[in-house]
Amino acid sequence: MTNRKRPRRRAEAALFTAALCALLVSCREAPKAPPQSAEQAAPSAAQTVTASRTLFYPQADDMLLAPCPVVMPATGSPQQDMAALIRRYLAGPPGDGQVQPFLEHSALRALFLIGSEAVVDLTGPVRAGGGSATEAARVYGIVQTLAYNFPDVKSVRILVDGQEVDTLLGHLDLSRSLPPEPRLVAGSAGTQGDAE
Amino acid sequence: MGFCAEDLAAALKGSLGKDPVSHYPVLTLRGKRTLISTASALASVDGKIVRLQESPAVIEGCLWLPAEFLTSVLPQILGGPVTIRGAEGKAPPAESKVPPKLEAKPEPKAAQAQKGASVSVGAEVAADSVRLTLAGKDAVLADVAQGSKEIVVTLAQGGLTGTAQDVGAGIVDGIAFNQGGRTLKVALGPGFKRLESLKLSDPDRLVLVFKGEGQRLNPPPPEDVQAAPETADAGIAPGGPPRKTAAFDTVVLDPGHGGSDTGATTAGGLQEKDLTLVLAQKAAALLEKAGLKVILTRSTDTQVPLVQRTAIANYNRADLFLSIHLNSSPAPSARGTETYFLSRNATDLWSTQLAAKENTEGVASGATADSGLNLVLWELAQTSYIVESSALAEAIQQEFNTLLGTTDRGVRQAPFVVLEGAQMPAVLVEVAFLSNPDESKRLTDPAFQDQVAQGLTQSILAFKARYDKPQAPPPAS
Repeated sequence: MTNRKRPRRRAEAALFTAALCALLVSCREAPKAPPQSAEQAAPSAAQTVTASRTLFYPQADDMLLAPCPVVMPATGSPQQDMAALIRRYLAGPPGDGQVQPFLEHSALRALFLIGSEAVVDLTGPVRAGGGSATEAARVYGIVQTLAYNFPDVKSVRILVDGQEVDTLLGHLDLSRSLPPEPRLVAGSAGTQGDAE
Repeated sequence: MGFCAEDLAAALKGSLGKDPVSHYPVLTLRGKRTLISTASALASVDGKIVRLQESPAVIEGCLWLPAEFLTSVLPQILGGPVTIRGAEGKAPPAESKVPPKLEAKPEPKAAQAQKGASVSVGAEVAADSVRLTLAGKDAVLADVAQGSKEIVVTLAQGGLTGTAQDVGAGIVDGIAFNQGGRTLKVALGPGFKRLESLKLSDPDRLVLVFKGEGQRLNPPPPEDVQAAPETADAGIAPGGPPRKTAAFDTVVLDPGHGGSDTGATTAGGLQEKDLTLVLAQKAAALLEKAGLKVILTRSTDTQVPLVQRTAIANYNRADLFLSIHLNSSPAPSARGTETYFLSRNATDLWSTQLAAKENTEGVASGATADSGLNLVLWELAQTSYIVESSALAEAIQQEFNTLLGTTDRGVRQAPFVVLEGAQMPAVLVEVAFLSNPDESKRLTDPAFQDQVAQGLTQSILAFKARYDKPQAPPPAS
């Protein structure tokens, strides 16, 4: 199973590099246009299909989530694109003004869909650290990022090392699927459906 | 007035079952599933929450629904206004839209009851009512006499059976009867408004509904609370939960984290769990001086499960639950106070998920039976206190902004485990950022700690003053 995944991961890594190079907009600015789905992106022969995505990282001062536009490769498979998006998210914000809520070596173990619920399986030191602000930023950074870019995702369940957890840092209830929480998003940028 | 859900299901060719996860009743009509909470005055129609004036209850095997279910819930199920016609095809008066089948049975049948048959007594407690059910053939013949302070139910032949129940206080302050005796006395509390009686048949029973405000629910003490080593600190009395008046007099303070769960830490060795305990103890001393009973969920460096902390508050019938934490951020510049109350977004979604789950058997692998969903409706009960919790959160936030001069980070909402099951206004305050060098230093200063304790105390007392206002006796007429 691992062997089968490796080529795909290598390919994804290459695509991520290309996507990083394509970052055009400062993370502090809201996206000018709604995200473009893989289907909408106009493919051309021998070109990588890309889509505009928006990552939500906490602002350093108030820890509210703020948008950070990026251009990502798109495979056309929502599940694969979501996984790529979360891996990109865990790499941290590319610009200034926002902070990385996750510790180094935090990683995505798996991501799958059950209807409108995305299940995100994390691994690494995702349960290390403290504070509601950090926990909320980790949890809702992922929830908001997925729900904003993939409007069909209505809620996100977070697992750690394949297991359900009650909470990451002792505050938020992770025993269930979480919908986006617009109140934790700066301004109105995070209103669900904005991406549509 | 009310009726049995079974009868409604039969009349509309629906079904009544039990949710396999939450074990709450599920009424299925026209393809729509309605979860009915017997713990609070709520129902969920395909995930949409409908608030009722009084709680449904299971009485002698019948899921008793208040009459308003027909006007507030049924239209949402059927997709339009509901007109219910009587057995003769006549529309009953608008205020009594009750299926005719459900109306009280005529006396003659009850009059044929065997003399001296036993009559069992049971009680159901809700926040806005206490239902007393006398089941047995003699029950429907009972004489009910209402006085100013008590209601006396007298059977012709005796035979009362049952076990003494602590129904709490507020609307009904106590129920007394002698095994095998003829008389049952119900002491009325200050919250009592009116009595409604209902005679039902098959089986014969008399249902007395004591309506009013302020009955304190009395959940059984959770087993893990009893087993926990912290029980003495948690105020779990060996003789059962304390009796409670309608007045605001009990506060539960929850020092965040504890034991192996240190919470946030600093490079200098400060631990959130130690500081939250100090702050809680200081606030407790001030609140006690102000005449309030204060219970700490922990008074030592011990790990107390999150759900147990709320259970302690419920068990002690607290009027307020305040969880005290210190914040932390990857950005050292982050500073100030944040106050949280429960996110309604999440609870709304959870109810939707629960409804959806009922419609799905054998969900795809990976979505195992969701034990977390089984408390959805229980947790929704906290939404009954959302307004109060919001007000309390605002009061605390404002107090900290002015008294402490900390940066205002505002009131926020999120699905905190420790707030979900609280049956009272409940908030979590992140006093300051341990990750901020300045605030970290201040937090170790006893003078600042005293200020924080004073701020919490002032907020709680201000909230109490607001809470107590509706409890004031009406002016003499």
